[in-house]
Amino acid sequence: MFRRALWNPASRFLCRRYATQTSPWSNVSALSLSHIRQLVAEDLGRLHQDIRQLLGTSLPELRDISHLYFSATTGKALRPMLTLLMSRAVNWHASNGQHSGVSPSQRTIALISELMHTASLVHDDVIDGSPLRRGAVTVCRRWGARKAVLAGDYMLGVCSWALASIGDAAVVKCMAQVLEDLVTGELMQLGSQEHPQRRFDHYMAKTYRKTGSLMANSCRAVAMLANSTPNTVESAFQYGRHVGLAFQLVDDALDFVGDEVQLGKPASADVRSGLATAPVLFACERYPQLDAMIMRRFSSEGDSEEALRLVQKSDGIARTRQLAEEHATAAAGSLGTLKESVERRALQCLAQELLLRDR
Amino acid sequence: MLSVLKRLSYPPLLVGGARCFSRDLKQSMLDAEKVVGYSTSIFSLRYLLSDEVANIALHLKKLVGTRHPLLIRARKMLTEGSPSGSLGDNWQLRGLLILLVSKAASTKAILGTQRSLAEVTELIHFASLVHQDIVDLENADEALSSGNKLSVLTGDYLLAKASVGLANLGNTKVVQLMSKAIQHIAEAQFSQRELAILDSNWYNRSFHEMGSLISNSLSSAICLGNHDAKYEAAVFEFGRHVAFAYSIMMSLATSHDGVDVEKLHEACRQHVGQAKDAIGIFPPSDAKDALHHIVDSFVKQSSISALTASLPRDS
Repeated sequence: MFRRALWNPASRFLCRRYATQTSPWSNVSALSLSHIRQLVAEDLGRLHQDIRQLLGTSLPELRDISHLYFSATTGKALRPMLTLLMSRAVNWHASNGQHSGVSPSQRTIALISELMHTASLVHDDVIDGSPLRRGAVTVCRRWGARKAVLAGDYMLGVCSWALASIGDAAVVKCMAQVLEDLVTGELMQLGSQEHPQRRFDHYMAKTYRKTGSLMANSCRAVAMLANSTPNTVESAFQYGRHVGLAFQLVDDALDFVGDEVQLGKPASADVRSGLATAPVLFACERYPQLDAMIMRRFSSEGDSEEALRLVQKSDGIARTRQLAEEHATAAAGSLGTLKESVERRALQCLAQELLLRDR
Repeated sequence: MLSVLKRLSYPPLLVGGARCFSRDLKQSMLDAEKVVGYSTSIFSLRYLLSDEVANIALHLKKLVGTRHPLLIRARKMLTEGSPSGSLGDNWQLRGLLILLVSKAASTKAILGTQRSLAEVTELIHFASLVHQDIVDLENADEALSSGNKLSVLTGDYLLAKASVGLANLGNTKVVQLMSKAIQHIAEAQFSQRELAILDSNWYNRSFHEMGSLISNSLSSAICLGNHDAKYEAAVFEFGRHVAFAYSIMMSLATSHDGVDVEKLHEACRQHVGQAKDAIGIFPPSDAKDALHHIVDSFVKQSSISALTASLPRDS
């Protein structure tokens, strides 16, 4: 049965090819998440410390805020992990199996990916008025909206400085694009798509900008820094893009099944804040009464609960997970042209591992 | 969006006596614009009029009647061409200084990258004002909360555009300099609020809040023009003193209570002198003269304010 087409023509082709036959790498032994993490453990271990050093300021309040998310490894550090693994994989490929060591510039991209992500979370929490993040009180709840936003700006300034210090103008362009995508993605979320047919495309485009772009461009940046061929750079980019989309789709599905303690942030948050994500959009096909609720952003009394009920009754969650799987498969497929290495295998397994998470 | 904003009906805002600025200051700005070939605002609200951010206009409508700072800021931009709105019609100091310095440093025309830098600098300035306008809310005030959200997004959008603009200049040193300025502007908001003017802490905060963006953008302009490093250092110094002089002038214009106006006026004069000394190494030109006229008008303005302060209140 033909599944919901992936929104990008190129990946649609990849999806069909890989979804209907056994994955070519499935013969190779799978790597667990902890094993994958182990491959870049040394670099990851120093990550938060290095970020704190970059953010060094003599102003106590700003220091406290800046360090809030970088004091321990409470976050998943997914983006740096991805970036470091990709660095090794492209280095191995570019050197034709000579070495895979991560260069200082590539390490900097990993730092930047985490810093940029965190700064955007701080701003997002102000926009959403969220009280919790990663199981703790948010910056805006503790220090107020104004200081939260300004601290986020400080982090972005530091980010840009670190990026520029690499000295590669093309890489700067690549990562600057992420900043634009993050905010236009957020703006897309503010608006709504009137036509049901275009709603899903709008949702996927927004999801790319908000989640996919950072991963895609971080991967692209480290590939560029390895002096890779344009094809390799594109492969790295596509990997990041597919993983980002898969990751967000799982996140959107979890929002309907997880609970606050488990997730570390409020559950059913999307519907309560008026957002129609993949599970709802899929459910709407079977239950058209969701259409009106989507249009008014679940603002009427009882809308959130009814939407939740209908989504859980429908196959919306299952189809969301299925789409996530297709993107994970496409992600792994993107790396097919890279020289075989344990890091390449790790990236391919990581795409699958992300589907299994529960937070 | 324009129609939305034009429908706003707020009384004209008076910032102390700032409405009555000297003819000299306005004239020097207008003359300067002729030198660099610009008669319109370096940065306009066109960024906010794009399709992508059409949503902002819709949501801004809901703010009408709430007096959220974002609304007031946008109105100032629209009616006065400047986010601060207090110093005259249609000019933006930072961008203008960049264009003048670019012209003063070279016999050739101002580069496209330098003009782009001027726009980026005004973008950063406006974005920082928008973010500083965010109000801390004790209670869950729906309208102001909404205003805050828009402020975050608007500021972020402008900063993102600035970042892309900087990246497109193709010069990583410039990106470094301007990133430092962005850091400094944000940092300044975390320093102590009540500072005695001309105190060393006041100078420190003043540099972070205003001087850094001016100094770093002027240095960046020189860098883009591939000029001698000594010009970079010179304009950096110029920028620092211009910012101090300007801040003192504004301080004199807005409040006189418990302030030694003579001392401030003298300090303003000294910084203007140091600013002119800093660009002494530039060859004579219309652009250099324009820069002199602008900073001289700061001194003139501060002497007018000092004089006004000495008059009895009811005159």
